[in-house]
Amino acid sequence: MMTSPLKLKKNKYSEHLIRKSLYWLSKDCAWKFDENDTYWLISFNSEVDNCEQQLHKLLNDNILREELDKQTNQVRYDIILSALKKVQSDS
Amino acid sequence: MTLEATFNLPFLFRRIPKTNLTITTGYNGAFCLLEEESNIEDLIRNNHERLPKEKISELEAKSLVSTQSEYALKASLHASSLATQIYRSLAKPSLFMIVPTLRCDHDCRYCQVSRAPINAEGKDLSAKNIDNALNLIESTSDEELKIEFQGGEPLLNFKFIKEFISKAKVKLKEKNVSYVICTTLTNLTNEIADFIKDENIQISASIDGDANTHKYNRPSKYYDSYDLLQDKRRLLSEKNLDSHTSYIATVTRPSLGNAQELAEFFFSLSIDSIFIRPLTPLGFASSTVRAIGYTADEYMDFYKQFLKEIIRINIQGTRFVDEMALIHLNRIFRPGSTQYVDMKSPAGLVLGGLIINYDGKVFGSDESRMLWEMTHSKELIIGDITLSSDLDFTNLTKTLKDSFLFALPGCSECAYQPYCGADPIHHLATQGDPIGNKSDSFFCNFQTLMYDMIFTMWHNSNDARKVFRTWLKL
Amino acid sequence: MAEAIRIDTAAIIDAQDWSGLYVLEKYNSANTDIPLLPILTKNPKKQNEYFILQPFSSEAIGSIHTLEQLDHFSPGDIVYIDGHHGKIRGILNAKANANTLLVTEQCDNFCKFCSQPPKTKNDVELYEKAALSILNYGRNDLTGISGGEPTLNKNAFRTFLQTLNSFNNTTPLHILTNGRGFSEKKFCTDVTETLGERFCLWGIPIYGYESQIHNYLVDADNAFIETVSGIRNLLGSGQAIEIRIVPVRDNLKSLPLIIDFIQSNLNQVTYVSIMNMEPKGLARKNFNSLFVPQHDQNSALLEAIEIAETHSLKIRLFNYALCQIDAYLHKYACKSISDWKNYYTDECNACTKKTECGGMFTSADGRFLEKPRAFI
Repeated sequence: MMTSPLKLKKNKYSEHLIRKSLYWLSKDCAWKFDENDTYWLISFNSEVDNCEQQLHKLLNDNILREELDKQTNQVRYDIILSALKKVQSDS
Repeated sequence: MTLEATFNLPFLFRRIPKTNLTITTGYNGAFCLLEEESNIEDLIRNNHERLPKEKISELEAKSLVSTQSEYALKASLHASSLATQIYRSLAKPSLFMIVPTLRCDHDCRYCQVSRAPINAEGKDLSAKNIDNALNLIESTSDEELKIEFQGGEPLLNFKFIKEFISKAKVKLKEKNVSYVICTTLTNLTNEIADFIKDENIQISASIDGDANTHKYNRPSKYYDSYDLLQDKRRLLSEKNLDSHTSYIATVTRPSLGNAQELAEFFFSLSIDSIFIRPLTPLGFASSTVRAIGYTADEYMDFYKQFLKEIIRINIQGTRFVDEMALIHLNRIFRPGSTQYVDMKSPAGLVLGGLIINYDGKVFGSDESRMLWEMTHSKELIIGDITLSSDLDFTNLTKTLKDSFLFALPGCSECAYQPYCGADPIHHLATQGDPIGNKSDSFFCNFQTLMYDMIFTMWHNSNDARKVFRTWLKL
Repeated sequence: MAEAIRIDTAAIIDAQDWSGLYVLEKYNSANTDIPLLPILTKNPKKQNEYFILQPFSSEAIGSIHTLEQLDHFSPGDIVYIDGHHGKIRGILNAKANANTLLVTEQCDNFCKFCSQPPKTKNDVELYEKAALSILNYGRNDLTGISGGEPTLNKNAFRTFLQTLNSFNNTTPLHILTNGRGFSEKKFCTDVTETLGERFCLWGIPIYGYESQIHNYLVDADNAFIETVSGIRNLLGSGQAIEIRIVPVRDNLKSLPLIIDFIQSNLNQVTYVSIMNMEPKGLARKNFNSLFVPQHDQNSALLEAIEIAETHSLKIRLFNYALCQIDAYLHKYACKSISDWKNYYTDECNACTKKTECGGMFTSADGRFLEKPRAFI
């Protein structure tokens, strides 16, 4: 038995964000991922408690990661590229 | 403490479950533990003034945040540290495993090798392959290397080991070589013990617990495996080889409720350290998994109690090292110091160590060998010393490329990235592709829980921190 | 000033015409391809008279008279005659516990505790004198190069190294620098190339974990960023680095954070040396605002050492007296004070740890001395 779907606004959460969060959700939750025009629709195994709660925590942290990434993505890319270049030139 | 505004550098974070702690880690490998749940939001949303002053100073010192003027400098420091990390993990192989024979005198329940009976034919590595093996090792290795004899039970083909080492002393004389024999010890004779002493070989022996536990895990058709093991340990003592010997314990399901007793048992053996490890249900029948297997959570519940007991023993005055904990501590505090090949990014697949099987086939890791036994998948083979001393890496390059941690799904955002290592063969074996779904992976779960536990203990327990520090000091 | 355990000067007369560098008695090495310094040799017939000889000549071209014995010097030492002040001074001495050559007094930092405050006059001839001294000394002991800032004049510095190389000299060097010049990558690669196989340890100070404190203490804008960039570049070129930290009032509390900064970002350095302040020069002038008694440094030192131990960062304590610091720190304390500015008080004679202890600076006298307490 599945729960009635949790609705998450498409203009607030990207698909990538949802999928990343679902990746780490406990397997017992057996999630199903669907959509309509305005919302992402996620249902869980109704026999497991707190799936929705778990998902909200993951979503919140992934939003924080997105925010951090917005601030620092170019720097992160530069760091990794610079490191790989350095390794290449040293070897 | 600076009065200037501070900005975030790229970092990773993880909320440690069942605690208020959030760990942040930088690409330079530095970590900072935030103590309140709201700290990470304040940090990321640039409300730095809401964090305790000392925390901001610590984040600044560790280059997780920076003033405007120092930003470019700190980014370049991360790049230098990351370059060093990558460079170290690309070093030439330093561990070579050799399987002199597949024959074995035990029937260990968790054995992942398709072992052969003690009189089987065609399961020994012939001494005529020694020259090719040595050529391969000589040309692939760095200046310092370790050669480990495994099996089966390597002492059942002691002749091979003796001849190998004698030839290696010539062929590898420019290198700094150390030898280890991984053995059940039950075939130890005076002659072998003397040889071990003369050649300064290290022994890695398995002891899983008291008589009942050990015999349940590691039975033998031929003798009482526990009694004989203890006899041989006495022989080692008589020959003053105790300092050459270290012990491994593998945990099976029935032991999960006996953490404290197990710790006390190992302590009673008067040994310096114990390396206790979980088993991964690689290639087991499901009935076996049910009998001896467990989830990472179940194992960690056991291990937490075990480690607490070990710490208590240390606090009471005896130095007794938990090698599994120390490996993780070294990954955190001594990057570049550990050679345990499963935990390297990129994976220690080819670069950490090679294994030469009893039939001459060469693999990039022990798990590759086991996987080949199960699947006979030719891509896993990188050489064959019965034919030549050459290696062919083409099949493995792709697997290798896929295992750079900062690019892998599931790994790329994990806060433990600087310390952990992708294990593509594990994922290949248990889930069918080298990247695997980390949320489902025993290896990933186990590593995550280990680091969660180590960092929590480091932060919350003065006793644990004190003991960990003494273990870290050489 | 108290009296040092080894005097490196002696009073002389009749030396006004003879200022310059000399080798005492004989050359240490047989290498005669180098530009040879004149020799100063004892007149066997007249006590306290020394002849001056040109290389390979046995005819004296002049002589000087010493008012004190030169027992603290050895044959082969490089000495400097200062005719104007009537002094002979040791430059490179076999009996010294350390030998350091001054190559300039100019500097682009102005550290608030500088024991040798910078001067602006052009003294580029000091590089050549240093090269001549090293070449003539002919021993392969680790030799310090100091200033001022030795790399401030980049050309003169490079030329100094090239001069040594051109005579196949391989003397290992311990170069004290603020590292700022190495923030320029090209200078870093040039110097690394010029050094070649020569062993070189760069002693570079960091006084804070961020710009504010460091730049304040060295009184120079942008110094922290340039110094750390310089260290990063040198490490990238495979050079050995010793980071030096001087704890004073302004940065004592930050000491653990400075160690954290080093282990997080620069943990390939060879050593970290925490150096107790020498009360000389500007340090003496600014004493009251800078000075922290050694025993008040203990808790910061213990915390710093704990972090260093955990991360296997090699750490050493310089210029600390064993009676002033916590017993746990004793194993990290080094006998670091150069003998010509080192002394022990009378109280120290009764101390059981005197031979392991580094003692005091000769400038730590009177109100600048922290009273020692002998271990009995």
